[in-house]
Amino acid sequence: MSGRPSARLQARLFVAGAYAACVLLVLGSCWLFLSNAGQLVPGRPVPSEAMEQWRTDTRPKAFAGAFWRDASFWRSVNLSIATSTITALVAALVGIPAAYALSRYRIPGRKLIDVLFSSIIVLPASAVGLALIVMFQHGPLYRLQQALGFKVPHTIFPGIVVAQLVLALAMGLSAWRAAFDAVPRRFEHVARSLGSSRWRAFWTVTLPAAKTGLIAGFILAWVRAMAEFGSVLIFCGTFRELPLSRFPPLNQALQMHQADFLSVAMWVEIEFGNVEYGFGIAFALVLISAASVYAIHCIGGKGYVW
Amino acid sequence: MTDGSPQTVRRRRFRGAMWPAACIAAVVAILAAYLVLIASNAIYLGWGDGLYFLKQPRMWQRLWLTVWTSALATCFSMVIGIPAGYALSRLRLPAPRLMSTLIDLPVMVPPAAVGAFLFGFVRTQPVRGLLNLLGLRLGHNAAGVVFVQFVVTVAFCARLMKAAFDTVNPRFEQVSRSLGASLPRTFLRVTLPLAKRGILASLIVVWARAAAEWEALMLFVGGTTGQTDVLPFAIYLDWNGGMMGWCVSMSLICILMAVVAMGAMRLIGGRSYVW
Amino acid sequence: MIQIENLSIDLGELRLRDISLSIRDGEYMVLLGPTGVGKTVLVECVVGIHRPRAGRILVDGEDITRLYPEERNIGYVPQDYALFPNMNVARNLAYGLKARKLPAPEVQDRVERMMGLLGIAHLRHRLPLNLSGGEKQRVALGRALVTEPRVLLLDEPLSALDENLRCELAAELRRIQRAVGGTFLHVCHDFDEATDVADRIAIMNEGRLAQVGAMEDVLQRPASLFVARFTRTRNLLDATAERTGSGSRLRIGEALVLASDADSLDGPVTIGIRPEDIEIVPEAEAPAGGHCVKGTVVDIRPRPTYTEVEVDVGVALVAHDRRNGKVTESLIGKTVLVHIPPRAVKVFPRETQ
Repeated sequence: MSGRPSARLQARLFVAGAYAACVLLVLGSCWLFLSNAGQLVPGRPVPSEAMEQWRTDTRPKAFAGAFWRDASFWRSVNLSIATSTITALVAALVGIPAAYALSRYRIPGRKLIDVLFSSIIVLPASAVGLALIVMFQHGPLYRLQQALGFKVPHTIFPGIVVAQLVLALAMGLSAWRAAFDAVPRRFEHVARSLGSSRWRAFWTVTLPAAKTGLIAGFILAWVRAMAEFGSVLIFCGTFRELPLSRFPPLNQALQMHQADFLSVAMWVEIEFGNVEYGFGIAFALVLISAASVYAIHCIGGKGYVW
Repeated sequence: MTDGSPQTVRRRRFRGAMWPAACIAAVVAILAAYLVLIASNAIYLGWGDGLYFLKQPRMWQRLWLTVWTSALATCFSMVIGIPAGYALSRLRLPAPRLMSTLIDLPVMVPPAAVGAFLFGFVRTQPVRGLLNLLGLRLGHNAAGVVFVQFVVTVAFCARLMKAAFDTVNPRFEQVSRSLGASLPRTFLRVTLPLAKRGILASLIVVWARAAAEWEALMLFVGGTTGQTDVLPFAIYLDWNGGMMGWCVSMSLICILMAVVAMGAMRLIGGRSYVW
Repeated sequence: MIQIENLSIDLGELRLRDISLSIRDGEYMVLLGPTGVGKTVLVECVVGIHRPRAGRILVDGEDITRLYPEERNIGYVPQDYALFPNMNVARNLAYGLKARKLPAPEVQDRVERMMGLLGIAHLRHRLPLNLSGGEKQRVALGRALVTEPRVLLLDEPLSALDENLRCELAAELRRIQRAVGGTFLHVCHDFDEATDVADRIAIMNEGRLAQVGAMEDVLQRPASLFVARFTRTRNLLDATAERTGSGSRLRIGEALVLASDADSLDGPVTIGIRPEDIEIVPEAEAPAGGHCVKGTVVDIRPRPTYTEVEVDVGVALVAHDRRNGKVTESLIGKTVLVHIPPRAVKVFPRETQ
């Protein structure tokens, strides 16, 4: 039996098919963004099927096509990056110990908790935003806010952070859990047999071993926070229109007044016909996401899917 | 270390237990926050109101729309996702990190931006020509919904398939080929059955992700009642219209759907799976 | 007839350099070497998993280097057996035959005969996860053999098994190979395992073949210090050599001088003496022919088939005495004559570390 040609042909076709699917995805992804490159050239808007929701049209249209010259654009970038970073940090602070517990300790109902936490990732953002609004404006938390004297919804801090936190935390939990699962328990047992406390074993043995996975999870949480749109829209709304006096001095000092969260800003601009500006923001978002995703892939960190 | 007096031991034990306690406290805090979130919504809605909304035909129409469009989009995603996942898992790609980033991009970029980008995507050649050829009009209709859901989930599906195929030891495929089975035969008889659980579990997750998509829909398709108001989108529309009762009940249904989907996935996928 | 010609491959840290090996029809060849030298990589090249950077593989004169695994008709039993977990034993065995589109009655017939040959007919409906190590090995073997491959490659087939099972199954492998008349290439890292089954052995080190030949050849005429060490030549000593008419004279340390009939260069060398070549003789019974050295018995360790004697002749030597009762513990501390025939002293160039 010398070299069955049909087997060889079959193998070749099969491999070609698999590669073709990959290539299709890559090309499709590239073209998705590149086909809109025309938006960056002033004077060639693509008609938008807008929804007429808000009618305050005080924004000057002179910034069409030159979005990077608008100071408010940079304030939006500032705002988005700052809130996302804070969200990711808070998520890490709470999420890493929680992920460790889920990975190592036998908690009653662990399977159910797993299901609950992982279900957050596939929740629609609008449901999350709405649920948050209801919780803060109509529940026991409403009275708590009144007692403490500050409001959570419709604010930049902590409003946007809260809106992002729900989904970013869930994403991070999944990645951090996988990172801890990948470190064999044997190492910790040995460390403890040598006299380390559980905290010391974690800090000196588990944490360094899981380092890449944890960092990847952090970046994932950050990217997810940046990509948030629906819950921020519903929970916080837009801030661009508000007069300067409505912003606490801290926000002004940090250059975060009269700016919107980036994806919200993009949507608002497109809806109001400032399509090039909106697309400019969209491209900026793509660049930021691409850089972060590339960083995740460079770091490595196997064993997780977001 | 050598001082073994009961007081020292007790103190040491207490200090040693602080870290595990903190970890468990974190879990409890997150769990509590989630449950309070759901509970406050449920309480706000009230039992009577909830049942009322549940009986509305519009509610069921929206639910059905969500379910079948997501299912269809999932099928299309699998067609490309399975071979792409196999390639990502077993074959060597040039510049793998760059390729991976490009493939992941539509999933990681804000879906609203993806929706915006879909404008140019379908209105320029070659996609426009292709759509004309197939006779598809992607506008304010269910076809548009399925299309958007497909675009948002196809790369996600490929990633999940890669993870599923990664759980199959390549040794089995090597042995199968050494016994004379061609590569397609090996894939069908050996690889797929061994990856079966992972693939089925991924199917459910992809479906849930498609059902949760609305931001891209908002940008690309717009909200026409009856045609394109899948549940997540409908929540936003009704919130704008101030119909809180509708919103909260739909939101609770979404949460329930997500939990049921993930529960089913965990049951099918088993412990070995990645989530 | 399998011929591997000048095979070279680079796989990250593992590399093969210029491997040339011939395996005759009906031969049981063992590829021996420490872990990590590239034995598995060589097997995987022959199966078709890797494409070599240079070199050829010929089967019965046909160049198969560029063929896919499914076209080569080479049997493969990997180290972890890789029985398909979703199929029972009968379906695992039938897999290769079904892949070749053979008619069902013939498939049935050949599977039955193989199960009879291997004694696994009672396992036909079992799933792999319910099989013991030895049973799994038989099924894996049967699955590859039933397709009548031109050569069967076994990667560490006995390494995963218990000690006492290993000897039995080694004998089984031998019996099956004889019964089927096939050509086997068996890869392992244990020298004893090789002695149990091999017709010829090939010893591999650091991606190269150190020696190929029949067992006797390798034992009595090791090609290098590495081969001598690997085949349990226990007594390896540094010496200074001096050429004589009929071989060489070797000076070890201050006082010990041995004669060897190996031709060697002058200068620093390393010599090796197999323990079973050394004879321990009580002082009274000196053998004719000389070549005896006086020594003191340091320790005597009885073993099942021989007695291990540690004796001090200026340096420590280990001897294996098989004469059943001649050498007993009463000799500890006594002076004896140690007979080292010249043919037993093997000389190798000194290796600089």
